[in-house]
Amino acid sequence: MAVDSSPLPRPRRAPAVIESEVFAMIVWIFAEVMMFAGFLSAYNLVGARAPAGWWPPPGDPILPWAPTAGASVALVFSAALVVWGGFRPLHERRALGIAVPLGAVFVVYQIVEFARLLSVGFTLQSSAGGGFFFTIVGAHALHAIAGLGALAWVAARRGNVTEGLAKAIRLYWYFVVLLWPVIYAVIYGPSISPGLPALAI
Amino acid sequence: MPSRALVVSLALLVLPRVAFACSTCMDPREGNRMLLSVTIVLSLLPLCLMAGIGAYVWSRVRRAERLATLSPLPETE
Repeated sequence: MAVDSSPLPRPRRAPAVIESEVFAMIVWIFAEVMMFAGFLSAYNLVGARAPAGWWPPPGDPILPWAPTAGASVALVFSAALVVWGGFRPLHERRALGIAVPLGAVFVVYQIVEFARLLSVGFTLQSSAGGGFFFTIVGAHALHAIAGLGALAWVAARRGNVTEGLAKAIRLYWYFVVLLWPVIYAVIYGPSISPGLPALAI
Repeated sequence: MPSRALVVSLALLVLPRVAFACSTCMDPREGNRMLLSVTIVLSLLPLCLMAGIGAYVWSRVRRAERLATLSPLPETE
């Protein structure tokens, strides 16, 4: 008796409603948002509970808000390019090729700023302000480095990365960039004063 | 229902005044006002995020349903 060895027809599966990578990234970003909300809330609370004239702590340097704003522009432009590239798959690799160096400008600036602040004695342990500054801004910088690495990897492996993974990495970069203005307003905001020099360090 | 509204109105009238004496919520000092603000933000933020994720998933499901109606897939491949 002849046996039909041809494989059985498999039922057709509908495409995923949301790519798994995108959904995983959304859950991850949820956790990250709550973490940074906790950091910023603690910063605000400590500042509000400090005696009058004691926040930012006396002796803390005035943060270089003007050059940081300049570096922030580079970060925002890099996100704009990633958005643009996401809508134009044919130009995405070129867009990422510009976006990654722009993001790197921001990260390199942050490293230089940290080095300058550390050199004037503003450290993680010098005061509560220093502890908050290096924890919050440092955590964001680490996220930016991770995002840049992922974007560079997507740019290098274009064609060999699934659309879901590329979308998830773009989503992560949007989170990193959108979070920065909030951090900037909370952390650098008190340093912005007409009576104070913009470059105090 | 008028009787239910009446009961609710009466309940509001006899609310214990001690509730308004909460040392954190009604204290005008900056530190306590900030504590109240932070509590509100941190309580509402996860709910808003979950609502946002739910809305996004729901919109994607609706989109997938619309596409399936327009071009149904064959039963097998």
